Amino acid sequence: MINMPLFKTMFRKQLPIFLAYSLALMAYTWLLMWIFPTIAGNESMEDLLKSMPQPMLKMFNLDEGAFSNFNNYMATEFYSLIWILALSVFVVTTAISLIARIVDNKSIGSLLASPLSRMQILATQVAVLLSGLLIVVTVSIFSVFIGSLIWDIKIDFGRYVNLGLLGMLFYTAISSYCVFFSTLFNEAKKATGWAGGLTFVFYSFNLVSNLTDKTEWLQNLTLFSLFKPLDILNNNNTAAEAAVLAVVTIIVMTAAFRVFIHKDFPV
Amino acid sequence: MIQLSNLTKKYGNKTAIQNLQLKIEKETVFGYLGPNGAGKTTTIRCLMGFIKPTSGEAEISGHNCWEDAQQIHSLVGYLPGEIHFIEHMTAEQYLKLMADLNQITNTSAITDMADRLQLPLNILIDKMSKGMKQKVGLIQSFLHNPEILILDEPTSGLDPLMQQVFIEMILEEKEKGKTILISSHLFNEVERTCDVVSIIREGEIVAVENVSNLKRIKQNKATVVFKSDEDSQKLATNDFELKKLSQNRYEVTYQGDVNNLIRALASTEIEDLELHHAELEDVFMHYYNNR
Repeated sequence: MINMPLFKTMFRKQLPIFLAYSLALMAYTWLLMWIFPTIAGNESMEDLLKSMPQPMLKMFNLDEGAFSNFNNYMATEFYSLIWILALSVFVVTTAISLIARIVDNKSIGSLLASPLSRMQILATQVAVLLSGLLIVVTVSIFSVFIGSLIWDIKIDFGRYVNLGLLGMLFYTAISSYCVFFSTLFNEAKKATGWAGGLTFVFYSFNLVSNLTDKTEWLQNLTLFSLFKPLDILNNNNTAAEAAVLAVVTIIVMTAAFRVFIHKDFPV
Repeated sequence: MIQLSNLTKKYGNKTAIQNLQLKIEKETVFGYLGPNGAGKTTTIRCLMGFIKPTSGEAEISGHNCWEDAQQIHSLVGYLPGEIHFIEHMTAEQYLKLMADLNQITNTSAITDMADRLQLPLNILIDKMSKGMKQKVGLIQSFLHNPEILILDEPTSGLDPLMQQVFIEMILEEKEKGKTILISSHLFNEVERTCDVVSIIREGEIVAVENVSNLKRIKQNKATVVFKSDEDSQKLATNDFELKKLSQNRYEVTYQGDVNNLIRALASTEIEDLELHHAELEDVFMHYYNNR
């Protein structure tokens, strides 16, 4: 299914980007962990929260205790914000550069003319994308574990592993429509527009759906409502969300493979 | 070996190629000629299984080019008209990858061909000139020693010396019994290597002919500047057609072998001689006018 020589070549080309994201997220994780004791012991932060308008708190999931409890702090300050945005950008750009870009610059021609099947070509490119995602997620989750030892913060690491697993599933679902748009369009710009645009719309829907009861229905229209770091770190059951994400991934990936196998390539 | 049956490809309501019928026998070097935009590349994309025909079919060695594209690719070496490589790779890394994809373990063929084409392998392909890229593409298409070669405008970008090396390579492959399809918009490019040529114009094949027939009958032109105007009279025979361009300068039209002209000119004093290569269209127009 996957062609190893091609996988190695493509993986090696993407590795610097995988490492850059991993290291940046690790550094940010450690920065937040380093300043946590200062914030946790500071009453004025809680006062600040109280002074903010209710809708805004809701929008960013800032409940009381967001700055005093470490899990809540990481979930609201990192996983629901920077982590989600950084990995969205990572998934969109990596999917585009692995699939849409090589169609756009026509270098896919040499792969298409080789004895690899189209199925093998796409499966290999998707495998590179997902292994990159796995590296970034794993490094960033493990950096919490290491950080907890350095700054002596008590955590239940199992919950962070769950967060990583659901995160992996969530970003695989996001990847699936990025791959789909990459197979649909021959121009990288168009694919980026659709993949990035849809991600932005999903993210905005999720933000707005938290605002009021009137906008709550919007969460049915976004994948981001299926990934709630706060819930996972508070040990709520997320099996239903995981199941939905898996189903979405399977359907959209299947569609992407069908498009790729049956399309005309102008190369 | 290669067969097109009623092959048609439409893009929207624009027809790129229409009802192409063609049979290329084994061990033939076939020239596929036509002006730019005539449908040469579309035909080749159908043969390589990159695009699905709207109707009709293309076959190579009994395999349907769309359905069995994977098998076709093991049989065919392909050089695209415009080559695009995977970015940020040296020629060596790239060609080794292509060897791996073709499951070739012995990569000495790469260095042999690179030596012959004088191509340094340790340079990033992105930094190469068009001619060098063309050489990388040539090595790639010959790499797995395929039975069939499909070469889209193969000598474009090569200097005359390298064109010569390339022609030798084609002739060697021909000796080995390969079936070769070369597309071009220049008759000269295929004249020396091809056995049969066909012409495609506006998506339709308008002619298929043996090159030897064409060569025999083709009208050639030369410009001759005589020392004196009287000398020109020596050529005023049935074999030549003279057109006065200016004082002492004539355009001479002759048929077939250039030796006839040289022999006739041997008895004259000339200042200059310029041979013109016949345009593809001219060759065919003349051929059909004379049939």
